[in-house]
Amino acid sequence: MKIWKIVGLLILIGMGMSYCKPQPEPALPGQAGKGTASAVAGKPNIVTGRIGTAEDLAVTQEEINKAKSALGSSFVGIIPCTMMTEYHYGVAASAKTALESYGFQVQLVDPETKPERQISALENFSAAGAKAIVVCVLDPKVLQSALEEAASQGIFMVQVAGRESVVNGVGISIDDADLGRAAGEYAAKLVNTEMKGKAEVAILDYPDLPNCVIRANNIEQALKELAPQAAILGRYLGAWQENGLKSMENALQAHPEINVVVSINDAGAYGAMQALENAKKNPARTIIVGIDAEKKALELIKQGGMYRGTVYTQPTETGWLAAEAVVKLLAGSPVPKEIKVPVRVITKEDLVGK
Amino acid sequence: MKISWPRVYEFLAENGFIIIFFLWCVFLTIATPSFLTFSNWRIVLRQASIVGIIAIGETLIVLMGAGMDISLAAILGLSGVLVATTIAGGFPVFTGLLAGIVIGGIIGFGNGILVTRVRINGIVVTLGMMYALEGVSFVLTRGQTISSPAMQTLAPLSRGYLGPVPVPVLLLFLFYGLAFYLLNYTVFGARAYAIGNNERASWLSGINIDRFRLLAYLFAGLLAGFGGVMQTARMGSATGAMGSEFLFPILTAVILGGVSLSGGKGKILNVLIAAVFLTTINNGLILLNVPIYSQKIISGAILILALSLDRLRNVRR
Repeated sequence: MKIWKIVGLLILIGMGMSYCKPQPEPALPGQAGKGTASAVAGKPNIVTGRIGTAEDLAVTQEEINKAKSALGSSFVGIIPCTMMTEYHYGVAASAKTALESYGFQVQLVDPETKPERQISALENFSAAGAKAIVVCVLDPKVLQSALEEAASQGIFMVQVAGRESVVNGVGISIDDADLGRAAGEYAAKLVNTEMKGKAEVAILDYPDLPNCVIRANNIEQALKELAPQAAILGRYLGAWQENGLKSMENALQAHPEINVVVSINDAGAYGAMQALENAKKNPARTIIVGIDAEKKALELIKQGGMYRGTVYTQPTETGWLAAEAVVKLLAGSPVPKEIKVPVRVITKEDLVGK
Repeated sequence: MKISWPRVYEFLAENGFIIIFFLWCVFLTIATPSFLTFSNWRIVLRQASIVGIIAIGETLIVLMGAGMDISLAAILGLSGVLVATTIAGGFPVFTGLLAGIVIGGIIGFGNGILVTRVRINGIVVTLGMMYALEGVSFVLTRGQTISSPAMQTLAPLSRGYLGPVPVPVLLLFLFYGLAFYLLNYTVFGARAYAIGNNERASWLSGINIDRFRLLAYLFAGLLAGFGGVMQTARMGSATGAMGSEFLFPILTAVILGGVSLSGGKGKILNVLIAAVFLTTINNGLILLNVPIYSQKIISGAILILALSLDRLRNVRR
């Protein structure tokens, strides 16, 4: 019993000593942290006044070397939104591959679309001494204070979603508004050219995630502006194939006339397509447009059925750009605060013969 | 005629959620032209089929007082991924189907062994198992959607019809018929209730409690595996996250169906009604054109109302 008491006392003393150790003075966001390898460590060299492009992030060997020495024995953390969808997996995997190709150590945590897990991951990476973190921000408002906390320790942030709320680093992403807008515009174009402007439209949404709602809002706005005669019958739960299928099966009971579905992603659109097929909708008079350009969506578009287009979200390019941004930040090179990745709609014409 | 309030109270307490379900159906029938149609009910029952079938396994576990299996949705997910991977890998469809069911059985058996032999709490074991299985699903899919044209061969299982009735609905009723018979007309059923009611008395009367509970986990795993096959057939593809949407409905169906969490009490047909009720909530809200943002509030309120009325029974006792 005595031995246990002594052991317990020693543990307590140990904990107290470590707690009482002089802590490095926290730097304010944007200020250099103490004791870092580079003179510019902790402070991004931001070019303000314009939104950058991929060209702004092209790295040189010299920058890679500088970044390597700034990183030292530390690592770069990656916190995706999830690893369960093709897009997010693609971004994270590509960033990891690129960073490792530069010889950096990388740690990756999957928060499974839960913002609270992203907060824990940010805290854990900070505690473990990460010098830079690539993060796909699920909900900027929820993560704001955790991002600022990490930034106050001189950690660079590369945000691959939620570009507008970037803290101590660079935001690289396709705007969700751009994605929604592109999908809505393309659907409106098809409605105008093939349906004489008249259509019964269902939008697949996912209210749990603000980014998805931005997409859905912009889909709706584009349709209202460009195909004003099209009736938008409602927004239904999508995002997963099962949700898309169930929602559309139910929606078709109330509105059997639905002939256009625009979805905030491809996964939900697959389910909608199944429901429309089960309802024996004529593929020539039915239009589905998704977002994400998943492999399956590309195959469906190529086959030439009702799946007519998907908005390409460039996951590999986005991940690679994130890795290049990390190099620039660690090397102290100038970088624009925001990098915009362009979107484009992929249609059958883009895929035939490929 | 004098109203006997205690009797009314008793009636409400015994049939709480069924009354709410009935009133909800009456309301939808009046408020929407398409709710009480054959085509809509075909959809409702088809949507309820997978949750309903897996809920049978969960009911068996809970009835026997063996805790609760949190991993069934994850088993569904892994089974689906395995089916899709096997078929997409060029193996015969039957092999994929068998692989999905067998993996469910193996995991269920493993859960059962950990609960009955290693004596770990059922909820803890299956919670850990859920995380592990989700990880395996992810490793197998690498975030990709697994699909192949060969998977269309599976389609009749979830999208086919026998006459006017969807195959999954027939399977749903078939499984519930078997479960009803098993629990009400066999020694197995009588012992299952006895174990849940009074574990010590059952043990003293010579019932091998561990064997029964192990069987419950095995059955539950097999049914979840079969659910995975059905879901893959329904989707024509599989993803690592395909099970995640099922956990809440499965558990809710069992709890709403009145199966006592301490075991020994519960009617299997009430679980079926609860699974259908849950489906009609979502279906009805869409038919009513309720905005997507308000749907969660209303479905939550309906569930609370149904559960509150049903819990009167316990208060009364």
